[in-house]
Amino acid sequence: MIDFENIVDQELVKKILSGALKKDKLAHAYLFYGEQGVGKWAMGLELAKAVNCENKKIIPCQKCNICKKISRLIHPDVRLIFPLPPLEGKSESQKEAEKQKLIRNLKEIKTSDTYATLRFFKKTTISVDEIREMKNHLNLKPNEGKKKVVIIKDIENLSYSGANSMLKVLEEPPGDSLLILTTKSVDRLLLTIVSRCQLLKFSLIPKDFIKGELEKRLKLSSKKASFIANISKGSLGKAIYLAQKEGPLAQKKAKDFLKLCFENDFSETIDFVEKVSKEYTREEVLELIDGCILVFKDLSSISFGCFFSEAEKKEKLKDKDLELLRTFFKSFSQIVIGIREAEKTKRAIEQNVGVDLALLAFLIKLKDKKELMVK
Amino acid sequence: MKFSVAKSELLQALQSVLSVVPTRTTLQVLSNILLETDNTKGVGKLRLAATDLDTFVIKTLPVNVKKLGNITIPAKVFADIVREAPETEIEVSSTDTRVEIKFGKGVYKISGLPKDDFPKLPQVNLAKQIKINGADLTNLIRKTIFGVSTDETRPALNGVLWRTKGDRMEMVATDGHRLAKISLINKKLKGMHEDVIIPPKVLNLLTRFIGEEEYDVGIIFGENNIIFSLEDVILSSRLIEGPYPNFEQVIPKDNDKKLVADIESLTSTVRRVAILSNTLTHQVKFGLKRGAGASGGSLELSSVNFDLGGEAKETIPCEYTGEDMEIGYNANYVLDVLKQMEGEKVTFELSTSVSAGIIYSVPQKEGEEYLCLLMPLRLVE
Repeated sequence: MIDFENIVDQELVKKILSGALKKDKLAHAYLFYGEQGVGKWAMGLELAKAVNCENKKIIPCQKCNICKKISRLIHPDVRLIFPLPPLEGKSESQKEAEKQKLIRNLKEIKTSDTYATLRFFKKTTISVDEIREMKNHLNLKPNEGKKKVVIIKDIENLSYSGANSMLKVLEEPPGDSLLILTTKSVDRLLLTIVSRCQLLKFSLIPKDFIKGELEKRLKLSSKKASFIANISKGSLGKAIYLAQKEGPLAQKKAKDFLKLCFENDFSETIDFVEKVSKEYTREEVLELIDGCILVFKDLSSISFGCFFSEAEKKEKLKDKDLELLRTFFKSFSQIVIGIREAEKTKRAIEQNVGVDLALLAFLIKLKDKKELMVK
Repeated sequence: MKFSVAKSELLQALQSVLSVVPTRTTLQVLSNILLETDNTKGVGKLRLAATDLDTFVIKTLPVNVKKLGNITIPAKVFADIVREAPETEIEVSSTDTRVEIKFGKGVYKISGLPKDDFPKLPQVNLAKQIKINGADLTNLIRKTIFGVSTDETRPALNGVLWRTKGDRMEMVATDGHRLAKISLINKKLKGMHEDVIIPPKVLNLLTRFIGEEEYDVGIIFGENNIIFSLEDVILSSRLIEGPYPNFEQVIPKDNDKKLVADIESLTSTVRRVAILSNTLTHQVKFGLKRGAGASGGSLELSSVNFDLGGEAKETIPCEYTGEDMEIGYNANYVLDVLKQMEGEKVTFELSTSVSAGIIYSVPQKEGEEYLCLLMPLRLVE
């Protein structure tokens, strides 16, 4: 029996993969795509276990030596490739040491919870060397397992030349190999990569599941869990991150951020943006903008007077910050423009536009009433 | 785990496994070596194992075992400590995660990782082993390994093919420009018919371990690996995924021109002429002139290097009865081949100036068939 018990939701993916496993018709390469924190990596590991597990009754058994080794990310036949930020060491050996340390840290995070998200301050890449070593690994027969598995996280970080260099192996991997690529956006990949893999979409996880997982994994109270589940936008990884992070949550931060920008004059806004762009990581800024979108959503709920529940209505109407922000965003079209600009800014930052410039542009657009009126 | 052993013995054993410990790796445990004590039949033994995931080296040495157990510890640090220790008895004891090394009045402690983290050691079933004479094996390896390709796009060529054919065993290596093939008589290998492609790394290690000594090497063919069992060392390597290309069809059958030359004089002349060859192609031109009878032909070796404005030309006598012909070779490739040739004379069997030539020595060793194939360089007029 095939049981992916460690995977939250994703019934369709589970069904497809267990069907393929049963009939021994697994594809040689899979491309798992979907939002961050919905279980792509976790599924990759479970699949690696499933093809290598020694148990006959329940696969993956999680109990045999092989499953345990894969869980701890130390199985010699399961090669894991992470995107890494630029290395800062001066000499090659320093760089190598830094890389080892980084990978160890990443592995630690991923072993503590397979759904944990990795966060970087800088733009990350997957080096061509990594792909070369992967190819060497695949060209030899497996060590102790039955199949050699390679899991590449966030393949969109792979350079153009790196992607091209792996086309051959991706099309026709040497015997007993399984390649699993994960990505947030298929659109950013070379078509030649995408066409060589079987695509599996990972959908967003329903709130109730996230709530349940938060209660189970992090022993959160039901109230807090449901609050975080609500703002995590279907990503368990994000929910775990938000739950583990102390202090004000993204939405609260976003409210403060918007308030500050609208209450004060422009020079102060510039100072503030500068501060944010220095102190926040890229991921955190993206979260902040996500928070802004949620705030806009609340504002629109208020302006239309429609809510999911009475409790929500009470809570939202009582919120002083929202009330204040409503004075700046009076019409629905203004709110819509706000959301649209926020999405644009997010995309810009993901495409490596400087955080300070992107944020500033975002705020100018929001504040520029004239433009808002015209649109 | 607890054992004691003389420093020199431990150091020697450590050095033989240390060579495979990778300097950079993403799996931390690979920079460790595995220490394991064994007390079967009342003989105390220490097993040292190291791997880079491709190759395993396992060394056993007799020690005074006081307590059974196992642990892995950082290889380099451990070796450094043992190397610097005075010439006395060293006592090593371990708990679950820590190792204590004692000698004289010194106590050194390092932390280790449990054995379970270490890749599984290859299973050595000595009952299945086939014994092969060590000298034969090194002969096979030495005469083919230089031809192994390093081209990553054709992984199967990155190893040496080992196969049996009737009562002969064959080793082949090629990189597309040259090919070396040797076959020896060995009746013991008859049962084995599967081709295996062995990475050169383990073969280099193997020749180093066998050295000049005369003893048999046990070989076990596994599904995914090959194991060589020497007296106190076990080497194992993952095999390269096949299949090996069909090399037989590139060996020409009807080369009609035959050149016979003295190995020694040809080698030294090629080496001299090559000094002034193009630094990129190392091209040396072989100008063949027909002799009147069986002997009396001449071989003119020449090279040109435009960067230096250099030219070299030298003629040696040879036996050649075909038509006059000019053919270009990469000098390094020719020298690689000549280096492996035994006997006095070498024979080139040629066809045209752009097709592969076969090179072998005369007379061949008894029971041995060795030939090399060399693709010529196209001569630019």
